[in-house]
Amino acid sequence: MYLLIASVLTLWSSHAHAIPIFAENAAQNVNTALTLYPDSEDQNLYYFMPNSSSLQMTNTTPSLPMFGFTYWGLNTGASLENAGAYLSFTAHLVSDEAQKAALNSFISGGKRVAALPIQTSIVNLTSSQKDAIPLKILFNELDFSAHAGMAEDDIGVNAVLTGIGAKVFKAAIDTPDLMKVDYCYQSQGLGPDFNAHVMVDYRRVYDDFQSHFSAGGFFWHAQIDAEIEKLIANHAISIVINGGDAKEEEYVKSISDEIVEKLMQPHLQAVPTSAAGSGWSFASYSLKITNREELTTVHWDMMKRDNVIHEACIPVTLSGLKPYYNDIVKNADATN
Amino acid sequence: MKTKIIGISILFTILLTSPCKAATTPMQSWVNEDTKTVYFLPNPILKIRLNHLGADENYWDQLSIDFSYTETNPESNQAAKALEAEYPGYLFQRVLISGVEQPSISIPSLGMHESVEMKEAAEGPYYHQIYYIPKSKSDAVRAAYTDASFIALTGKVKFSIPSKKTVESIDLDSETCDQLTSSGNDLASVVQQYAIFSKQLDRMGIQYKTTKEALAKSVLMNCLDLTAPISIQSFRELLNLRIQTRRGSIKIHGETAKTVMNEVDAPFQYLMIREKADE
Repeated sequence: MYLLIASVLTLWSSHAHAIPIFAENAAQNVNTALTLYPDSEDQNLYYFMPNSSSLQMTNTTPSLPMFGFTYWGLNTGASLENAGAYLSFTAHLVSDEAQKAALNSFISGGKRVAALPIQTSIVNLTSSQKDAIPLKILFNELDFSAHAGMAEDDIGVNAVLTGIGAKVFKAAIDTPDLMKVDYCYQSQGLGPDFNAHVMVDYRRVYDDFQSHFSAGGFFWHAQIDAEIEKLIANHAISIVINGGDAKEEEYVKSISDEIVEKLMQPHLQAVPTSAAGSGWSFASYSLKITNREELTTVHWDMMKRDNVIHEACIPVTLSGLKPYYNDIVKNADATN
Repeated sequence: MKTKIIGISILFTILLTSPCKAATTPMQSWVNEDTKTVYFLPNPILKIRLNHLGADENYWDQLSIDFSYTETNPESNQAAKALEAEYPGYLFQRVLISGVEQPSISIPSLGMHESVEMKEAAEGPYYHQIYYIPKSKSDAVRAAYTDASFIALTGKVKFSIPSKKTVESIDLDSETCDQLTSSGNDLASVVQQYAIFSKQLDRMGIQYKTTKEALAKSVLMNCLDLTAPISIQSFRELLNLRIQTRRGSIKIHGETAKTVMNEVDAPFQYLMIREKADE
């Protein structure tokens, strides 16, 4: 495994400009659970992402998991409002046995592998209920590094628990499963291969949007995409796919982007991007003032691969801490 | 007759002495014969574990749930071997899952049926969660835990696989054949009319050049009677050659087939791994 990590690190530094192609899985005849993305330039290089996680262990004897749980107010007879706990752990991503075996078999076939370069990453909890704040009764805070690390880097998490959270987690350390979080990452690479001849009758497209716009209002991007699909069905736009691995909806999206750029103007909307965020999004569009007579029928060959951001997560489960209970659980109220 | 009886009894013995083995659920697969590639979707696993917590009346037990396409299904190797045996010499490739549709979880003993949010891992969606069970529901959950219907996760995964698809198909009627001889039956007149027909093809709004070429060829092969023996001594004789056209129902057809990405969805077909509940 150390050899694998060393070779991965070496490859990483020597191929900084090459990027993975996310539209393809190059893992053929290897294993049922391996995904390998081919490199955009080096035909012998493939990218993978570790598929599992593990708590880091200390270098002490005996070796202990890098996990600490310090609670207060639970044994003092005070109300739970005055109790709480501080939880801290360090984990790292690893390949499970099946992925290790599959990678080794791939490497022994003369191929080279590298861990996926990470752009941004985040550690979070998922609620069991859609759109609900996860475990808000148990956590006051959940903190993690705001900067992306490499796939091999440690993942550090600190949390402050509520009184009931402290009580639940203190008991849960004694069970096989303590806590499940997600390590989510973004990585940049290349999307599907487009290869088509496109024809857009801009005058008809303009007339179509103008007729909707005259009724007032703005277009959301999803509405534009839906309208583009109708215009394809009406032959105002034609797509002749000559190859590649892009799906029809991806062609529609790409043509929609072209049309938006040529005919539409974005409008700033006061729509926060997330409940906690304060960002703005260019969420709607209106038609630009265009001289209709200047619009023509345009043909172009769409032969490209777009840069895409690939988002995925890896489950991080904190488990197997029971044997270390006395070393990792501390009572802050205890007198020495 | 004696042989037959022996045969039947041997078969019976084999059936009786065969180890009782649970059947492996086959993996869902799609075959592309053009590239001799089998695309397969491994069956995910749903692992559940029930533990006593006793932290509080509302946090009496905890139910741990892990649904994953990443963690290797213990049946996968056997299912993959079965697929390889079915398609010897083919390439095998796991599909790249691009999304999940309508995932929901149902635990009747908790009175729960709700849609859930799944995360995307490189190999497919996963769901991992710890449900805290209150003391008031603990007995009902524990009683139902070993039932087959204790928990159900439903949903579909989406992915694309390349397959051959006819992207354009055009049929012309038999009047096209009459057009070829409309100005005479000699070869020179037919060639002249064929040139006009070719120009008409250009104006028909056919998208693919290959469809046009196939139609042009189909007209020649199906309209003209090419079976009669001929003897020609000069170019003049060739141009004056009388061409016979076929009669009756004639199909003039041109099409283009391309390899396109077809979006496919497949329901979760998981293996349930139920760990023994503690007391």
